[in-house]
Amino acid sequence: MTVIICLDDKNGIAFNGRRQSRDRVVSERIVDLSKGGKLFMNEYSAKIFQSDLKVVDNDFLTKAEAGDFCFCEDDSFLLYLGKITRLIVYRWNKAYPRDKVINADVFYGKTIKSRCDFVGNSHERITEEVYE
Amino acid sequence: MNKRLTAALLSLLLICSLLLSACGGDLVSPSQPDNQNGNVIASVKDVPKFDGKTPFVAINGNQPVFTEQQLKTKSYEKYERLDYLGRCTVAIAVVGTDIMPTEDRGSIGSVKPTGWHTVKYDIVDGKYLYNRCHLIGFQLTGENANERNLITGTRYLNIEGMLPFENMIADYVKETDNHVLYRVTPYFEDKNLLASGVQLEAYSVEDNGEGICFNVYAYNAQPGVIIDYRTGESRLEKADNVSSDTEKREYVVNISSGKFHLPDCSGVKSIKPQNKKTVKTLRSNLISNGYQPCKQCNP
Repeated sequence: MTVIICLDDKNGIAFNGRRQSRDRVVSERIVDLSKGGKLFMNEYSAKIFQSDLKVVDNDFLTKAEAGDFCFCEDDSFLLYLGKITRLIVYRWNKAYPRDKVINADVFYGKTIKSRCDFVGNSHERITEEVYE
Repeated sequence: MNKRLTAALLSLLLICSLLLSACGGDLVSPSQPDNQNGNVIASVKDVPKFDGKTPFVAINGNQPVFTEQQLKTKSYEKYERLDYLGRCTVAIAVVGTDIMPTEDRGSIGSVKPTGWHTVKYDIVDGKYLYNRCHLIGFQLTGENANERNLITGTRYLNIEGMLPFENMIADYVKETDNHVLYRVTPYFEDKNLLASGVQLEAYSVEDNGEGICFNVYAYNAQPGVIIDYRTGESRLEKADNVSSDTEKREYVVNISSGKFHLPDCSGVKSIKPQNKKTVKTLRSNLISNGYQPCKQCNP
């Protein structure tokens, strides 16, 4: 399965149980790239996606199968590293408060396949990195 | 109205009344630990001393203390009067897109907040120890040279302690068009001219804090620098305590993991060649660029 996460410039992912940031351009991009598979997320994340194609399930990481996409806004995916064949990281290129950080070890064993920058709605530069 | 809906509404009413009844109408629900010891820090007076590496600590379980009347969905900003020593007191705003800046920031150099000194150290990012720190950041309300909104703050306070929270609020407001109630309170001990730190409290109004909710104290401190808060005067920590911060040394950086090592660290061998970079620099430069010291060789 493919896991999709968003990180700040110090690999932070959340603060006080909340996402650090959001950008509608990223949400639209995630919907586009997951066409052809199921896009899983929990109820909290579902509020920032307009698409009807999303699958909302708070236990989505257990239920997702090969070929599916999982959008994660916390570190719960670390329990499923064995299932992850591809990791897509959106980097905000800004600093936010953080009390949950994704250790860079998660990228070990994976090779970066692509990296590109694009302009967001509220972010000057967002970087998309794909690891496989 | 069916029974389930009625029960849900009653539960909601009960929760609301509990929240609003605490502390005389304040929204308070302390719950999460505020520091690494797992303790909840009830108020600013209970904040531990700066440990040299933690830019802020959560207060009151990260729950801000606002009254229901303050939670408005109409933007405003208010900067309270300076006190009798000329020190900033408090700034509060309901931040909305309608009061966010549409032009670049203007000059603020004409304001000389209490405790101001122009002083440079090599170990400080950008060299200058002090910045004119906006209480309510420019990106939120577009306030320029307002003496009621500018304090003398260390570079560390500005960049590590305050900016991340301002970024979080700014993005949320821009993406949702909602409002965030935001209050910044500097704390001065006795007649000190330099604030010991600032308390930042924020709460997103339309979604009842689901998007933004925090209450933190950010230290007005700078690692490696000793500050006299009475006057704002400063000096480097003793040379023997900061030798690693003032001498350029050779380090091996793993650009993938974000760790740095001493050249003879056994962990260096396992770094993939494409991720390995040898640099000669200050330890503090690596830290300020987001790298972390290896726990094995402790560079």
